[in-house]
Amino acid sequence: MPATTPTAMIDLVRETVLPDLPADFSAEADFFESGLDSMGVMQLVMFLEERFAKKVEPDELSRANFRSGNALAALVNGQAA
Amino acid sequence: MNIVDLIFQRATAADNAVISPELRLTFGELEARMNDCANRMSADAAWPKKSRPRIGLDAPSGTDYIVVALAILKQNACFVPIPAELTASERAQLAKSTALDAIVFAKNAEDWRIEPVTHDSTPAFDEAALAALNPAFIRFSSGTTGTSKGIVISHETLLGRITAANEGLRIGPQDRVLWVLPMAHHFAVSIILYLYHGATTILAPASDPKVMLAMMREHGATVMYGSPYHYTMLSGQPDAAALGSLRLAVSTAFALSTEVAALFANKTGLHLTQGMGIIEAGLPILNLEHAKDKPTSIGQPLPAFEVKLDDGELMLRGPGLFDAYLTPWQPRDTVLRDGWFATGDIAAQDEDGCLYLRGRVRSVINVGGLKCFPEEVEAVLCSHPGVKAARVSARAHPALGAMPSAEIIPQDAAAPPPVGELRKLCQERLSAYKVPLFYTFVSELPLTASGKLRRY
Repeated sequence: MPATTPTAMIDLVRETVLPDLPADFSAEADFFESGLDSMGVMQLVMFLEERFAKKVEPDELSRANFRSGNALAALVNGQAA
Repeated sequence: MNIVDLIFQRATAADNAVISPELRLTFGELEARMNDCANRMSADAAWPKKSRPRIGLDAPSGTDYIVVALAILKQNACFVPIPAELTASERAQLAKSTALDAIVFAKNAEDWRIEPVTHDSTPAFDEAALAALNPAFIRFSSGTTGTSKGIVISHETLLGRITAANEGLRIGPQDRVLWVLPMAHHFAVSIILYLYHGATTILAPASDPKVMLAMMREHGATVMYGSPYHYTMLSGQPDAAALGSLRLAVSTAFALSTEVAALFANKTGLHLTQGMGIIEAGLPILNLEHAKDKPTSIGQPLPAFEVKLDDGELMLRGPGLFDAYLTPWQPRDTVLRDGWFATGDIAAQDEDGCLYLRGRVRSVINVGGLKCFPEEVEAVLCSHPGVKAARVSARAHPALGAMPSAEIIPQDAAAPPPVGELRKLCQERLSAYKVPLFYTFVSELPLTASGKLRRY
């Protein structure tokens, strides 16, 4: 699967969990400050598995990995911290 | 009798009551802060001028949620938690069905406002009969609509259930309980129980396992309450082994899978204890004896409770059962059958008396501990002109429980409605957790012999 981008991740979050994310939401902006909660993280985990074949491991379920478009793209592309 | 008075009569003023990243309160400070909040509330022009008003609370989880909730209870008002995830229409429905007199919108214990609520019709329940019960809480088992009835819990019932639950939990002043669950859904047989038994509640952010572990260590937590999701997250931390110092880790909200139980045990050496929390009964069943060898069991009934299976359905009898359903008005005795409460859960029991939940009598999807009735979601989907029929079912995940997923028969198979439109429609009308995650278009849906949707 080709590498994903922060923009694709922001689009995914907007489409599925946070419909009110502004159009100019930056790749570093914090999803949690825009209302992402643990239910939203759980939903994103299922989307990442379904659409990106990315199985999120327990040690990847950190706030840092779900914080922003950049962080999510790095997680899916296997470059997570 | 008022449970709040009992809490502070029993408490040692200098002991820690609540610790959060922002604020630490001893029982003495908690009482002073609560009294100050209660006094200012009752002096507020918008506080209802009637006895036993019904007060909604819309506030974020945190130390001051506890302060404001206790301040409401202290004034003999009936407390109705308003979960943050409700949409505007669900909130309106909740305010109407409970005939709320006012809603307290609280940022914290100092910054709040009271909004009176007016209704264009009289309550659908008997107000005098409700007041006579000495009601403390009205809770809803799912969002607000349709199948949800409003469950009344009196001060006496609260005391009964926290006393019965603590025969199993054995929480006392020496305990420090690490807390990560949303307070609008979990409060009575948890935070009220810890306060009543003199324990310290440590409030940690639900989505940050690093901070959870740091707070656990710093404050020497002895007990944790969380869902399999939190325990999965914690298991992934490099220093997860520190959790092994807890004396009890209760897993609640949704089913604990073998995978999550084994993962947590491997990383920490501690076995998760599954419990069955139920709004109508508190915490009647807890896996204290067989957490190690049977982690997926909810365990055995606590000493004060009896259970039996009636055609597979789990029946319960014991103290602290709910006082009434609100709408339609049904006092407890008209609901119980010979003192037994039918839980709606299908269960099995093994040779040790350990219980296993197998499903629900009625179709319901447990999303991270919140109940989602497929019929409600299907009705929203079917209100879209491009949808002919819909079936919503659970998509299971080992760590997360289940999420709703939709199958749809479009009116025109050649031009099915855009998934984005369906999702948006659901997002506008339903709490986020009820919005289906995945949408599949199909040409037919399986029916039962009587022509109803086949659900499993």
